[in-house]
Amino acid sequence: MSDVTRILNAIERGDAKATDELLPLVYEELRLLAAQKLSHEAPGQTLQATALVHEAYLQLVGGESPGWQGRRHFFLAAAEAMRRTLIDSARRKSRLKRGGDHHRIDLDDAVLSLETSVPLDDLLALDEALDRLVAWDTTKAELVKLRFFGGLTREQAARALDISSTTADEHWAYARAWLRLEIGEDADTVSD
Amino acid sequence: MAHSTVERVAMTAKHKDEERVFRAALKLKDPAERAAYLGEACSGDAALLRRVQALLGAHDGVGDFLEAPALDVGITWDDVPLSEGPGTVIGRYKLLEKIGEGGMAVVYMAEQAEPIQRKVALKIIKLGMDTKSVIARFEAERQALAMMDHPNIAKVFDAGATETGRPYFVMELVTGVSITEYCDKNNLSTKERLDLFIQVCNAVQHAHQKGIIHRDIKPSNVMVTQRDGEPVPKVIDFGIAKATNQKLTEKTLFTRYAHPIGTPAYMSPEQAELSDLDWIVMKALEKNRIRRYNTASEFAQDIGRHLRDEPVAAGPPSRRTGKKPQPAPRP
Repeated sequence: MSDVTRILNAIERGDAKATDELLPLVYEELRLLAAQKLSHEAPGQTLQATALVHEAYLQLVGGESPGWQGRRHFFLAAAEAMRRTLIDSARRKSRLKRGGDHHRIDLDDAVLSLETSVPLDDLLALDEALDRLVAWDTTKAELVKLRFFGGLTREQAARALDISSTTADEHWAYARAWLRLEIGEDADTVSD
Repeated sequence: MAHSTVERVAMTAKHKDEERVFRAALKLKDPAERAAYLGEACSGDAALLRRVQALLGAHDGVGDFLEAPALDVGITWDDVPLSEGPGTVIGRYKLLEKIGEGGMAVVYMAEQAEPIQRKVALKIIKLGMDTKSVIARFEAERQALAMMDHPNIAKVFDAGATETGRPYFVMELVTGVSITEYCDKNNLSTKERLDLFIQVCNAVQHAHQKGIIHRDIKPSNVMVTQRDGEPVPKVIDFGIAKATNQKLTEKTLFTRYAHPIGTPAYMSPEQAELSDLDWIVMKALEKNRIRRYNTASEFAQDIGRHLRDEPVAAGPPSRRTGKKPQPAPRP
C-alpha cells in the first residue's frame, strides 16, 4: 500500500491531520511527471493539467479505491499544487513585466514559462477571489479548483465531490458568474 | 481579512439569498417573466436586485470563462525560472548547492557578499508549498531560532521573501556531521562524548528558558563542527519547535525513542551493580516526573559530576523512603 493510499484511508476515517501530509506527496509526483513529459517533448508542445493530474492519481493510488472523501482530497491536493505553481509563476511574470525585479535571475539552463488559458492579471485576481469564495461556499470553491486548476471534467469533478452532475452545474453557473463579477467587468474570456 | 462570526454568518446569508434568486431567475427564459419574478423576489431590497442583475449579466457574458483548465495551453521555452537552484540569486544571497530537504522546505548553501563575504545556509519554503498554514509554521520556526543566542544553537542572520512572496531565512552554515557520526568516526571516549553531550544539554536548557521546546532532538539535528581545532556541537532545525508561554523550569524533554529500562524502585540486587552513568541515563528516561531530572541543566550537571568522579544524584532509591542513600562525603 503506498503512502498516499495510507493517507487517503486515514482521511476516510476522519483523520484531519492526514490531509496536511498529502499535498507535498502529490506536488512532488506532479513535478516529476511534468519534468518527465517536458524532457521528452519539443518546445511548443502542450502540457495538459487533466493528463498530469490523472497520471499522478494512477501512480500514487493505482488500483486501490479510496472512498469519495479520499478521492476528493487527492484531487483537491493536486488542484492546489497546480494552483500554487501557476500563481507563483504568474506573480513572477507580473513583476518582471512591471520592471519591479532588479535582482538578476541567473540560471545556466533555459527554463520553461507556463502559459495559461486566462490572462495573467485575471489569474491573480481569480486566485484572490477564490480565497474569498472559500469563506462562504466550500463546494463552489472546490468545484472551481478541481475543474480550473485540477483539469477535471464536469463529471469527474461532480463525482469527486459526491454530488450529481446537475447539482454541480448549478454551482458552476453561479460560481462563474460570481467570479466574473469579482475579477472585473472587462475580463477577457480567451487570451490572445 | 478576518471577519467576526456574526459578520460571516451575515455574509453567507446574503450570498445564499443572491444565489437563490439568481437560480430561480435563470430558470425563467422569458425576459418579461424573469423581470416580474425579480421585482417580486427582491421587493424592498434594491441592493439585492442590483446584485442579482449583475450576476445574471455576468452569466450571460461568461462564454467559456474557466471552462478550459488553467494549464492547458502551449508551453514555450523562456528564461524565466520556474524554481530556484544553484546560481539563483535571492536577496543578497547566491544559492550554491542544495544541502537539505524536508516536506515543506529546502535548505541551500549560499554565498553572501554584502556586508561581509561568507557562506550561509538559506532555508526556503518549497515552490507550491506557500499555503497559509505552511507559511505560519515556517515563520514559527524562524522566530524560535531568532530567539536563541547560544554558541551551540545555529544562529539566524536574516529573513526575507522572494519577489513572489515566498519566505526564507538565512542561518549560520554548520559544516560537519551528526554528533553520533562524529563520535564514532573519531573514536571518542565516553568522557569526550559526554563533554559534547553536556554542551547539547546546555543548548536545550537555553531554549527551554526562552520557552521553546524543540520536540525533535535527535542525532541528525545535532551537528558537530570544528572551531579552532575543537569540536562544537550545534543544534539545527527547529522545524517542529513549539513556543510555550512559560519558562520550562519544571519540565524535561524526551527524545521520541525513550523507553523505560526498568523502574528503579523495584530493581533487583544484581541491577544495583549498575554504574553511575547507567543510573544517570535511567533517571533521564524515568517516566515518573518526581524521580527524573527537572531540567536539562540538572541532567548536564549530574553528567559533569560523574566526569569529575563526584557523587551523582542519580541512583537506586532506598526501599522505604524512596530516597537515594547519600554517598559518604569526600575527604
